[in-house]
Amino acid sequence: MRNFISVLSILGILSFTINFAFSADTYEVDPAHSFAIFRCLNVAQANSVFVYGRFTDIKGRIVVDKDLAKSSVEITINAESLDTGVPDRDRHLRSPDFLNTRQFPTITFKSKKIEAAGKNRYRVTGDLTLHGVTRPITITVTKVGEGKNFKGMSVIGFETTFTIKRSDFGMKGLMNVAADEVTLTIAIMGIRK
Amino acid sequence: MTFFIKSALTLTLPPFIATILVLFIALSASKRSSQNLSRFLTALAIAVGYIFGHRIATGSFPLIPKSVEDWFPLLALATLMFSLLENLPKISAPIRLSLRLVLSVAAISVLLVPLATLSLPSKLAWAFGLGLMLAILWTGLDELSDKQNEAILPLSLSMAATMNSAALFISHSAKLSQLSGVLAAVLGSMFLFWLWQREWSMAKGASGVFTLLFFGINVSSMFYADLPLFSAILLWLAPLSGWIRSLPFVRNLSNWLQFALHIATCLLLSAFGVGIAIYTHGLPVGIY
Repeated sequence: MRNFISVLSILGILSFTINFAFSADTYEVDPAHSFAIFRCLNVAQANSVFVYGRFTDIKGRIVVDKDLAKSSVEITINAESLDTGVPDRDRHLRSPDFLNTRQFPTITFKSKKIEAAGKNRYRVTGDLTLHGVTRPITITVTKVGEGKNFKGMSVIGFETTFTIKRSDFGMKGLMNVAADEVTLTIAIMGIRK
Repeated sequence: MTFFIKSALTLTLPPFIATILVLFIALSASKRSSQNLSRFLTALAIAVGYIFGHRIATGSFPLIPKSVEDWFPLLALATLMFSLLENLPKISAPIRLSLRLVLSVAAISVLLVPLATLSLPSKLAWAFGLGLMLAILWTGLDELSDKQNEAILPLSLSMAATMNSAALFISHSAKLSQLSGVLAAVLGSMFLFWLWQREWSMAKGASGVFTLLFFGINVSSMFYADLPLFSAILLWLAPLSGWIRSLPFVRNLSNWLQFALHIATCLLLSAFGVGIAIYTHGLPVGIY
């Protein structure tokens, strides 16, 4: 009996250790509930209006660990999926004038470091690859919420807004048409695997 | 309208002036009767003028190309060096043509390599096909510039580049359209120079640089933007419109009628090219 209790205790400790060691949760980005929105000042219209658009095809993976150093995020956006509501403008934005999507079909972000920045806020440093140019950026990400959805699946959502200069990513032309600064809002929801 | 005129002038005036300045140097060289040097300087004038405009249009001139358009200044310089080589008297015609073919295939290959939407075998097939076409156009224009020394040739080339620019703009690439506009300005300055110096006949040295830039910009727009293939083919043929003057029934016409037919053919071919682009994409609906 004593042996049996010892075995049970060891198994219990082992199970706790294993559970602790593999406490990271991996979430797949759900394209249906993820958004990549951008806005850019229309210089050609006398700086009077921002053009808004979105990328409709987003993929990625979020690893959430109690130890933030082990957490990570990887996002891949299909640049061809750009949509501003005006087909002619979309084709122009996909052309070599701007994103050159036939040469650079994806926009990616890979985190390198995640730190806490307040309640449900994180400072994420990583590499943004856009138009074939990779540059490190640091963004502040807010956790919007987490829990079980109506289907019983564990979900988690994050959101961030940040500004980049397109010239930093090699898109230096037509500054008299579209401004250099582009503001991006990325809102993603992940479903636990 | 003011916006377009201002943009066009900002873009085309500096290359126009740069080309004229180098042509003056070429003229002084030709007066010292070094014709090979003068031919090279004419090609240099086109390359310098273009690179000047390219820098203004794209805001960059990286030595290590990243985007497709980054290749154009480097290809212009490579062709310039090649024109120096092929004007050497010891180079036989078959070797010259073979070298041209190699350079043409290599030029198209570097433009197509970064393309993410084609498989490697498709890229190779296109590079060989289009490289062959480029070599034919280059040789065709080279022979034409040998036969026709009048200012009408750079005028027709400038017109073809202008119409190419219009077709590229309709096919959703303002940047490539601007680059073709720069080329039109460069050839425009050559035309004015030619009007002033009637005896000028150095276009032979420049045909390589022009053809490669014209064809390279056009082909890039086909693969990276939305220029329709049939539109592109008609635009490729426009610079060769001077060959119409070699037809037996045209040869007997007066010089003025021959000029008119030359220009009309060039405009007609390019207008059909632009027309196909408009038919495919519609007219640009203003600036969005």
